[in-house]
Amino acid sequence: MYLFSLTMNNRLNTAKGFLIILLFALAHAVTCFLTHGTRLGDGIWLTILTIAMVFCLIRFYHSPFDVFLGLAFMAVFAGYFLGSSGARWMSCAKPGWGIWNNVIVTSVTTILLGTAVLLVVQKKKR
Amino acid sequence: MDNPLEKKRNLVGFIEIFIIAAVVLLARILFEFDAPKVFSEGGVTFSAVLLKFLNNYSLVILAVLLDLILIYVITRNLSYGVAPVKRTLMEFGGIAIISIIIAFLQRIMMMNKPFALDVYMLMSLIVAFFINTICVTLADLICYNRWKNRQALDLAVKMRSQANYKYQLLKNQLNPHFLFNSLNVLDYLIHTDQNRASDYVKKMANVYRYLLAMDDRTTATLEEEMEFVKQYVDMMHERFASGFDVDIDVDRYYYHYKVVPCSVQTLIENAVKHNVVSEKNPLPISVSVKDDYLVVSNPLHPKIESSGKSGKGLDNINEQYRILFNADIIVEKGDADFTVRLPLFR
Repeated sequence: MYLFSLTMNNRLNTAKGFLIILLFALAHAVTCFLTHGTRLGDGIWLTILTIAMVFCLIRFYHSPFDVFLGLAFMAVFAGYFLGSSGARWMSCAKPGWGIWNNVIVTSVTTILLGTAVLLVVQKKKR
Repeated sequence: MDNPLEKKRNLVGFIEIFIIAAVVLLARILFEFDAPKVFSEGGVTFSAVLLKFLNNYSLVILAVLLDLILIYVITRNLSYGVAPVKRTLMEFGGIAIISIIIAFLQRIMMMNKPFALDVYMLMSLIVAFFINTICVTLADLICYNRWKNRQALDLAVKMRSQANYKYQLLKNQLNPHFLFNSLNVLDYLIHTDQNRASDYVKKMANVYRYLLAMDDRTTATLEEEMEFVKQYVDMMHERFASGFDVDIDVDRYYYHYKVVPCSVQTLIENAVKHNVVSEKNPLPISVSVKDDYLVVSNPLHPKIESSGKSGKGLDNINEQYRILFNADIIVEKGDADFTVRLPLFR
């Protein structure tokens, strides 16, 4: 797919990276909305999506996969703690929003984690 | 056309990454579903055990130090991008060993049945594993960032060196002396033999065409380089007549091998520049292949006056071989002859 291929323009590459992050944030939001109330919960699906996001960002920048374990681990557990705490806080602040608290927190957490991963894996400017 | 070996390598890489992803997912599932059961059985929470561990400063410092040593050892022995799964396994193994040591030390410090394998030991292990994984991951990311910066710097240096080499090549060939001499020869030929003059112009055009073609390439095939050398030598013969003789003995088998562009031409040019070239005593220059090296050799007929800087052209060629092939050229200066060996690569 040419849309997600690396170019010589660093700004364009960063924009494409953020597009990947936003797409995954949307996927996280939809998954959270659909599976949060189920018996299995949304944790596993969101974890899979987070790992996939880290994989896609590393692949996009053609970075070595040596740091895949570290980045995936950090993203998954940071996402778990931030997501849980954030959802608890939002529920206290806006109890009437219900599931939307979880959806918003999931999206924001994904964008934050994705940005952190992007900063690590993107190539230095030549 | 897709290379089957490349496809197999990609598939193996994909499987490796899938395994790592599965391990992370498993850790996450265990942490959410099984770890709380362990802690509730012990009557404590994960946070409580974690805080107790972090309050033990000496143990935390020891854990961090061991983690840093682990990353240092792994980074020294295994570069990034070489074997991600092997690296992951080494990190996992190291974290497990360090966690066991820390968990045991914590129990010893608490003087609370240090070697009993009970639920409290399991809780300590889980917390130690968690903390060590975070430390090792952070240290690894910092090292990776430094490696990335070094790669970017090395690439910039290589690109600069290559640009400098190409600039020097172009400068040499567009050198007013070379052009001046070539035009003088051309002028002579126009008045004496128009056919030869026409051939000379074509050879000159081919020389410059090759230089321009190599502008956006880092290597040339031996066949291309030999063709270029023949054109160049023909041009030089118009100027020096039979003052030198280049004997090219390169089997067609080696034609697809790679060389640094203009490397052979530079060596021949150097030989003519630094040695006496006369019809009475022609300078023989031989170009052959031996033991996967392209060997350019000539006897020494040194000029009384040195003409220009010596060694710079060889340094430039050697620098290019180091960058492109991670290999050095071999220069042998004896009493009677001068030989340069250029490594050949497929």
